[in-house]
Amino acid sequence: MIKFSCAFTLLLAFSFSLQASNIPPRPNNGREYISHARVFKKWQDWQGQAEIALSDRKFRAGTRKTQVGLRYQITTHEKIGLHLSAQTGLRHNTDWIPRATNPSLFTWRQTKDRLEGIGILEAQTKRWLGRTGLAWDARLRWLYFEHNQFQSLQAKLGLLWPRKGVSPGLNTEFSFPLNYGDTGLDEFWAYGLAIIDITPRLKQILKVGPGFYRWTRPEVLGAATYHTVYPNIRFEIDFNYYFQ
Amino acid sequence: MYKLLFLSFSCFIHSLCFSQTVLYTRGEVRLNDTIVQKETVFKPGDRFKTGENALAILDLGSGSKLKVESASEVLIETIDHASKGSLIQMARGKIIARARKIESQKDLFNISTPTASFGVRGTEFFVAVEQAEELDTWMCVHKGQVIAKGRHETQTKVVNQGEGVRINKDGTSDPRFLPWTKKLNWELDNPEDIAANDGALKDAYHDPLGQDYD
Repeated sequence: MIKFSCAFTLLLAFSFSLQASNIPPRPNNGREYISHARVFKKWQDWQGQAEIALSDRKFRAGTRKTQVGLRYQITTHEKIGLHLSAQTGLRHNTDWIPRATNPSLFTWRQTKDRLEGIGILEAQTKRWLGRTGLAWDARLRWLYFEHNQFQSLQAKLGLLWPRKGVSPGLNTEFSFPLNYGDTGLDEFWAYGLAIIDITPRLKQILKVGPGFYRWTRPEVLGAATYHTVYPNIRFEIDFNYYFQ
Repeated sequence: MYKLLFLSFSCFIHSLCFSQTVLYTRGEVRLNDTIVQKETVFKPGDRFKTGENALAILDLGSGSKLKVESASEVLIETIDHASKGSLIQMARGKIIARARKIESQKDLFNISTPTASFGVRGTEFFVAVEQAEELDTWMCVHKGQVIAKGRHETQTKVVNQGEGVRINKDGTSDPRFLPWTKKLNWELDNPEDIAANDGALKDAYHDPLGQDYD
């Protein structure tokens, strides 16, 4: 038993030392705070939207985002959309770099002030779940990051119980890398949400739930490929204003 | 002589089977500007108007019934169970109609509003004429099937059980489930369970599916 205990302790110490050398240090706590302010305006089958976002995303560096988009309603239930986004503070796998002072240790590149453009194409469907009064929606987004030509696919599945006053719901979001990394999934978030009608045109949206990022450091100069997963709890508070 | 007697008897039986009477009233219900009560007989060409918080249930004969809700105006244009069927014209307000199952052309039941017309094939359905940003007709089907057509449209749309449409000058929306219609009171028989659908349209203009929250 003592032998087993010693072996386990050694193994644990070894794995920590391995992580310490190759994996950038994790933030102290796993909580992220995100906030959006959005406006929506409809013209017949078209809907324009603009949003700004601030976030304290320790796992991605603090991001600031400005985004404009246009959606077109193809049928009662289906829409397609195009969004253009400018963000600072995004983090990519390629930002997992050796420290300048000690190349055997790794860290994250400072990206707080790095401005990136992102193009987003999306398709979504929303339908009633029979006559239950519940609505489900699915959304697929293709993202193109101009900074490094990375492409990813984001999927969202949601269930909402639209009600007057407060509409509760459950959502999950997945992100899949298309031309980078070597894993099938690099981001996940499952969360509960509540849409609160402050006025008929102004809504507050609260989201909270667990998620994770999975980072991959690509093989560089013969060094091995490393992975790390950063689990977190995300809290989001949004304000949406609908001009129509 | 026998023929005359037979004809009179047939007319008597027909009037018993297909007589049109007011089955129930609540609040101020007017028939051609005269306040009416339960069991008043009416005929084609008569016009019903209901006041605020009023409603009436009309027996159109042959198993068909009409609930005229508050602040409504309805013209009973024809009730012809022998040949052409029935036509109800609705100027404003809300109604719930129960039309007997169609067996022939003479059982056709049609309702027209300022923006739409509906052909009914044995069903229960709700119709509301609402002046919002523009004049709208809302219709939803509780049982059976309704053929809907906008006033200026040539194509009809089939609205199935559980679905509804909105019709205005822009045309007829695609039939789909309208969640606010789940709260409608469809009772036409038991007076104790009959309730007004006054607030029914309050949520009609809010479309949760059309609104993104991202």
